[in-house]
Amino acid sequence: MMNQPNSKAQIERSITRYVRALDASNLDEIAEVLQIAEEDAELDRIIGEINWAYAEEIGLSVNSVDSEKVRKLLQENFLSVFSESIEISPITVGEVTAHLIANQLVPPADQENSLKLLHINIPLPKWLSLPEIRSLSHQLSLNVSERFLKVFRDAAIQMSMGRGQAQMTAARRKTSCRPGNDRSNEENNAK
Amino acid sequence: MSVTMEPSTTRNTSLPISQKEVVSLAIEAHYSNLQTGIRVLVARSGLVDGETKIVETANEILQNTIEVALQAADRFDPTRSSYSWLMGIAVNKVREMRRDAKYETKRVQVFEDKDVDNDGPNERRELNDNEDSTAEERIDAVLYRTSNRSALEDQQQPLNEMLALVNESDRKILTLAIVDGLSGVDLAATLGIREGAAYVRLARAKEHLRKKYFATFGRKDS
Repeated sequence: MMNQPNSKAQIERSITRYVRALDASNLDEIAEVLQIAEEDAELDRIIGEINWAYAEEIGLSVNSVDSEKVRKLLQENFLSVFSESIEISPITVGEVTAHLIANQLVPPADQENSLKLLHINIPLPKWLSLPEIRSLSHQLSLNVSERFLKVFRDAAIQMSMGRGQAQMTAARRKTSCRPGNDRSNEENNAK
Repeated sequence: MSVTMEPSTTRNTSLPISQKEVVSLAIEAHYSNLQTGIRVLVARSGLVDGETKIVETANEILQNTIEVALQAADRFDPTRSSYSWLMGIAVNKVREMRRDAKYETKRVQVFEDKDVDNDGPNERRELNDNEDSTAEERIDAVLYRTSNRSALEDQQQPLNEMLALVNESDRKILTLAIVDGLSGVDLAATLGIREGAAYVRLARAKEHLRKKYFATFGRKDS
């Protein structure tokens, strides 16, 4: 289901419910408001802000964790398969632009300027945040809208994830082919 | 939230996307917020006492939440807000732990409604569902209609009567929100506090008003 923004009054009611539920330790009510927030990005954001306010109030604030550190933690503890580094060529600006054009995702106002990007073979920045994409845009002296940059960023993230999946598959193949690997030995014995 | 998942482009792409990677990206984006939210949940639920135990339990729940989220990645709908989805998983874990006898014995109501000033025993009673919804309707009729500038004049008297029920601090924030129409960042800036704190204070002021309203007028339709 698409995110359906609630009216201001509906959001305010949900906020009041959430705060009341937290103050009353009512987990069922908290869960219900979170379900509503799953379909409302603004309410979702406000709930995050409210949680920070509560954490400060009760002296349990968390220091912001560096994204790189989190990624490392996730890879080490939950996605060990990522640790196999297989070299696959990086995605370029031109590839992302081609994807946007092919999928008709380029805003009408940017169609002409986007064609100029098709042949640019500069790799994407490592961290695909909007400021990084903006910085890349300045480097390339691009005259494109903020909407284009956002769409470009989103497509770049998705393409990177797709490339990541290819890396994972390659890593699995590499692991399973190593001498001494139990599974490959079993497969070899079976043959 | 510092990073949001953009649903429209996710839906339109024909590229192969691993759901597990989408979920891990969401976890990465919301990690600090998740840690914070889960600590608040643990503290408010009264599962354990003391900062050290709260942090330890919250870390355990965070780890479990990430595991469950990655296992359930195929069921995640990327068009929905990922932070609330992840927090929902954490709430389920807290509920499960509260049901566990080991934690049940430690369960205490550690956080009383400490911000209610000068409330007597009558004011502190819990409202039942019918009263609750009727109170909301009556109060909302004034509070939310007065958000409409043109209707403000008509509602001024009932609004003033209601605002007279609460203390100065609550009256100030309710006036800023209802009469001046401030919310979110603007309300926070006027009060000199953070956005989340402004939402909490406003919600509590509304709750105090609701309780005071019932204590004063009772149920008109009973």
